[in-house]
Amino acid sequence: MSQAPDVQILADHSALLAIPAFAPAILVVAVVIWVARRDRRLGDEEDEDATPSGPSAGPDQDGTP
Amino acid sequence: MTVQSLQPNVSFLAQGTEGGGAALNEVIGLSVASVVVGAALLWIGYQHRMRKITWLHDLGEWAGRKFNRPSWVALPIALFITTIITALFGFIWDVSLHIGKGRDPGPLANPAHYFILFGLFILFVAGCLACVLPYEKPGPSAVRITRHWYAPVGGILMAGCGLYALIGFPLDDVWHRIFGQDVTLWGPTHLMLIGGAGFSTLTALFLEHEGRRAVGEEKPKDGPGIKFIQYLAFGGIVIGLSVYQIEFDFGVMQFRQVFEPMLIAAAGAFALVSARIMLGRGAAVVAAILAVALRGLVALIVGPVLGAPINWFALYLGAAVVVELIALTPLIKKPLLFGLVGGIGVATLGLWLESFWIDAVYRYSWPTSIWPEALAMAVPVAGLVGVCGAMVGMVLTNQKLPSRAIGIGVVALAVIAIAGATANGLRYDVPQNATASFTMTPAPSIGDQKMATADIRINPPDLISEDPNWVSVLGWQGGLANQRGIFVDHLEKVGPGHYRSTAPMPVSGQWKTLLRVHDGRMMTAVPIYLHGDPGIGAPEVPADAQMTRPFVSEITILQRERSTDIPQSLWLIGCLIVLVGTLMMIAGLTWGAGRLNKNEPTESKAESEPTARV
Repeated sequence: MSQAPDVQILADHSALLAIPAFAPAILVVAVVIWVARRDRRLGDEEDEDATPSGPSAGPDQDGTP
Repeated sequence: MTVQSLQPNVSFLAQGTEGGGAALNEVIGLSVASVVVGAALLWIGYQHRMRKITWLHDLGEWAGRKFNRPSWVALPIALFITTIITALFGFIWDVSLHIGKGRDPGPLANPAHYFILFGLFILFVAGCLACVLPYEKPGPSAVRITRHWYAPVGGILMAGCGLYALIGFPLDDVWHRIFGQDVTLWGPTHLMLIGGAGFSTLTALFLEHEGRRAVGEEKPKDGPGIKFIQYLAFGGIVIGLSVYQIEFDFGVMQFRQVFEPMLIAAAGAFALVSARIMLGRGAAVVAAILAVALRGLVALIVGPVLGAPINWFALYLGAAVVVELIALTPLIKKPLLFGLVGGIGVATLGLWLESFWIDAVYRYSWPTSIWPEALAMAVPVAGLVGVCGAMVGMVLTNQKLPSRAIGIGVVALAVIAIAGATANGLRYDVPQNATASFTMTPAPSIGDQKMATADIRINPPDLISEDPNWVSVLGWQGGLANQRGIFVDHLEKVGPGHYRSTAPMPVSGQWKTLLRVHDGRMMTAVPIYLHGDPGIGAPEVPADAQMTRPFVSEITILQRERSTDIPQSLWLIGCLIVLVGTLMMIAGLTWGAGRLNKNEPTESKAESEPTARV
């Protein structure tokens, strides 16, 4: 009778219970990847700016984003 | 179990919402909680990197002074040790509860889940902490995240292992929705959960190595506390790589027995060879002893203290002695060869020594007939995994690895050997048209548990060879109050195809009781008593006084919850996704080891760069 929803509910809860654990982890990783990509993009743009006027700006050189 | 009876748990879970406990409320509540947790982590990380808060830095520095390591090693490793032991405890407890009670009757009915969830989440946080803490470039191998932010390889890998394990949770849910609740440890998503945590022990060693290298030669000599932690790390690797054997440790393995020696040999070869190379004479034995102490403590708490089914564990002491003895020869000067010979030694002599312990305490001992196939699987796997362990040892002692191609090639060969052995191990036969005739004799009840002994005739009588892996009656999921919910009886052979109980088996209540036969490639079972399970629409299978039942595949009995009407292709896709994830993790660890080895200490411009911005 109501057996099928029972199994569904059990499965639901294992995932629900885990949301506070895995969701922040994915969020953190997403933000870090976004930050890293943005930094590289900004770095590339600065490189393009710098190239005509002098020595190329390496990735390790100072440059405030 | 009905839907109604779950409601109190449901509303409690939602923390604050009452009565109906609608799923939507819970989703909202938990999603809000997760956003708050995630935002808090990001905020702390951002504030720290912008140098707007100092407490995290100060805490790290304090831990660093205590442990004689940089802050970005000391604090994360302290957190790691705490969390991985928490997760280990939760994991063993969880498995034992499932064996004793079956699938979870409700979300809060299994407290072990909290330990696992918390443990894996903090594992991820510990990895992130190692990445966020350093203001200056943490050593020459560090990975650039931004121009002012470099993260240690060990920290990135630790966070990666944690993330891999955590992703196992939602995937596990999807998996169970599609395939039903398979009560086995070796469900693909379960392998993600335990594999991520197991391999993270290696990342802690990588991180410690980076820290050791960063403090340089002028650092004061490591005290006994640091040495202990290093030994403990290898004990952790022994345990971490032993997670796949847990079903065997409880005596409810659902896969062929030849897996057990192979898994022990692989874990032992990797951990003990690398321990001996990094920490010198006696390290393999000390690592094995620490692993025994930790597993023993957890087993003691879970079994005798908490009343869940008892579990044993491989000792690895024989394997450790073998590795130590081989290390006394000049082979130790050639690490790769030492790894190969050590691995083979573990898979032969080490396993033989281990078999005495297995035969003495495990519910299922190793029959003589297991050895040819067991050695054929264990020797190539342990030999190659031993070489991988040797390469880890070389990385941790700053010895130059062989060329990139050889290093990656060995790891790839090891993976192929494991895959080949696993494919062989997963092959089993179910006999066609074989039956078992039972004559059940009632025995005195234990409480409200009906008990019975059986006289069993197997047809055809020559179905089982002289030296089978097992002919036994297994009862499980009977409830912790009833003999911890597990019962194993090895049947006495009275004649050709004729067997008899040596102890009364449970045939009522929540038990699933079955006759199991494993003989070489044959793995099969006959249900004796299975409780009615309306939750999955399965009727009771009663234990009649006289009955003749066919041999069937064990999975249909042990994993009655599993849906069988799902197309094979979907199953394959699911397995492939998990396989890809696992290979990515191994590739990541290999990459990390190579990167650590490639960058011998050199000056770097960024090292003197104090500014830090996200």
